[in-house]
Amino acid sequence: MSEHMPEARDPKLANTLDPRLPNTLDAMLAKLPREVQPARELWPDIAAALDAPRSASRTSHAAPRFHTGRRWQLAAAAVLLMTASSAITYALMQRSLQAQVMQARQQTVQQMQPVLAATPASFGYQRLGPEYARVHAELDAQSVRYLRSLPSIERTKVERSLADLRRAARELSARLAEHPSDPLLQELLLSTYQNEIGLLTRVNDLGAGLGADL
Amino acid sequence: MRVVELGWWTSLAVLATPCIHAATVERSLPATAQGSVSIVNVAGEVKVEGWKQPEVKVSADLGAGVEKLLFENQDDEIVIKVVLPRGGASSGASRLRIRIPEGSKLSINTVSADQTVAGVRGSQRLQAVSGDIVSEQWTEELRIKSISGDVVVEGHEKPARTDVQTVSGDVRLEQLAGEINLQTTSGDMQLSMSELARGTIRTTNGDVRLRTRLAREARLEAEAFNGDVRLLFRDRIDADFDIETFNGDIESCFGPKPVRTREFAPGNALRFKQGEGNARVRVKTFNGTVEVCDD
Repeated sequence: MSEHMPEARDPKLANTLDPRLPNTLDAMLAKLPREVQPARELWPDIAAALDAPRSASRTSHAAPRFHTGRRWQLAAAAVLLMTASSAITYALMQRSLQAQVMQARQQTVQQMQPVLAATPASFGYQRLGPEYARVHAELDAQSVRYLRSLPSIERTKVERSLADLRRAARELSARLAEHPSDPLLQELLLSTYQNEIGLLTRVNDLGAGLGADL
Repeated sequence: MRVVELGWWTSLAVLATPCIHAATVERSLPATAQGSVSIVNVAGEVKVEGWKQPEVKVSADLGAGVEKLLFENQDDEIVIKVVLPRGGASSGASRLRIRIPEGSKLSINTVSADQTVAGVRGSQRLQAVSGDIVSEQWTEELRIKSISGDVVVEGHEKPARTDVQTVSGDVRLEQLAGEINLQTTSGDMQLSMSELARGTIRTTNGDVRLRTRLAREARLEAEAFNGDVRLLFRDRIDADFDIETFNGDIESCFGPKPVRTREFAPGNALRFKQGEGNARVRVKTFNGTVEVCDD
């Protein structure tokens, strides 16, 4: 085609674009030459090009393998495409789910904010629920009964340790009121409550065990 | 005449009560190599030694006011119990020296009596209120609960699980290995381990000092309120450290400097990886100082 372009700029053709002639497309087309002779004979090259693959396929045994390999390649490409498509869909779904979870979380936080703001900044064990408070009260009463039976020196040691734990819980609770979202304080307070329950349980276990044994 | 008669009958009744007035008793029973032995004594002392004989042998100095020494096989468990009369005023302080097969599973309960265990290779459950506990650990589990008594355990650098809970008693563990779970309220803890695989240490006001090598995938968690935590690590350290304190200081012989975690409040944190970070060390305190160093 590039070989035909110079002919399109032929002076004869250029005359047809004279602005003084009627400026209609039909008129311009009518003036175009009906035939354009190529600069050289093209057919021999075209015929050779068309003939080449045919003769190659007749002589080569690798061709069927090529076709089989190509089928495998196509199959692999299809699988890859499906996998990629599934992965993208999954990723999009996950992102969408995550977005939904984030949105739900934000909504929950927003819903809770007025409640938290209205709640006194206390992190006492009463906040852990009525069940915890009940268990705590029961263990405490039981340990008081058991402690009465201990020699005064031992009783004082246990009572001092319990007081230490409760003082720690109060101090942590007070600091948490100042820094409510501090994870270290939350973790330490939770551990202190667990330690207190652990201590009461230990004292009661020892009391019960020894009471049964002795 | 009536007064004399009453006095005579009263004397007779006192003499007829089954209380022992300080006596020495020696008894033995056949036992299996890995059977269970349970010992109860309120006050005095309990000494247990493992031996290779298939027999449990008791030598007891029973205190005044003791009703009897129970020594019998109950459902494949040999029970040794210093029995006090109900409502008796005496503590019945008694000294028990007991030999048991070394593979026995041992359980001891005392109030103020001290406990000493040596050469017992089976699992041990030792409980005391105020008595001190001294024991030796091999490869089986050791569980100790105490209120105010001190605890001393010597291991043989063999992996095992050790669980110690005290309220105000101090804890000293030497030459242990494997897994530890320790808890005190105000007792101090001093631990030396050849290698630690898993460890949980909790204290409110007690100080903790641990010297150990960390196993490749070791996990160590220590938590204190006012207590100081000092960790000394032997050999190459390959761990991920996460240390944080609300009000205390952090001192480390390696890794970066601690950073402040809060703009308007005290608090320091130190997080870093030493080596490949295969083990994990996590320490949290409120007021306590944390020190991490190589030994």
